[in-house]
Amino acid sequence: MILETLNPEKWVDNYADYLYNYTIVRVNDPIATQDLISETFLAGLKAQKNFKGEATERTWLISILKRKIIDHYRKSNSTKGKAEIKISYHNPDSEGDWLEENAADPFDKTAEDQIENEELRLAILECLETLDTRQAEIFKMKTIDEIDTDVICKEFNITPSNLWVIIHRARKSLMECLEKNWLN
Amino acid sequence: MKFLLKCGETAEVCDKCQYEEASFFEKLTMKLHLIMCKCCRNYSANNNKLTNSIKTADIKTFSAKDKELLKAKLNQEMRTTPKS
Repeated sequence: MILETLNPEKWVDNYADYLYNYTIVRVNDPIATQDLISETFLAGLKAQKNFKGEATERTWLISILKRKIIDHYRKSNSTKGKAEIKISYHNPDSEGDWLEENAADPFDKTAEDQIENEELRLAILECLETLDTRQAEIFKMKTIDEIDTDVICKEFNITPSNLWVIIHRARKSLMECLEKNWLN
Repeated sequence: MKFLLKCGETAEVCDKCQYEEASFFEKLTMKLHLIMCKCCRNYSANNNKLTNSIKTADIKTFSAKDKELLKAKLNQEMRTTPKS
């Protein structure tokens, strides 16, 4: 078995986006998310010697991040009563409505959609990790941040046809990867 | 002007289509090729599927500026705590 090693210099490039998407759905606050991720990386640096190399770097970082997220919940829920359910009906006329309004609507699938979207999102980001760094970066800029072709070309000092070749290769390997990991 | 594209050229136009950067003429010649070529039809279908998946996934990214800040912070930390 090949033991994994840590490369903290590459953490931000390789995992920042993955961790960001992992956290944002759980914390729902962009600023807190960024703080949690930087705390995670710093904690990771300090705990480097505890890394045994049996898990991948990402799994290891996620396990630190999970604990940070739990701490975040604890902190924000420390004021008592925040999680209480409040029944807002006080007069007898509207009695009974409360229960009905709180029953799950079987036609409302948004929760399931969101869970599925999160899985898809992480699957895509995992596949992006298999590309080489430059390719992934260019692909993300073009596809996700929707930056213009000529701006990217200038930044990376490449011609448009170079860019399309890179995009083509990236799309092709993403398709293969997603077919393996997601569609089955 | 040529009406018959090769598969490689078709793929390029198809990629451009995903970003709405193909011209009308390019799209026309691509369609013409797709009628004749099953391979490219498959590629085109998968390509559209990928675009849709990325859209529904609604991936958020760290802004480049925040990434640089985070990197700087990490680098500083790495210098102060020597590698064990």
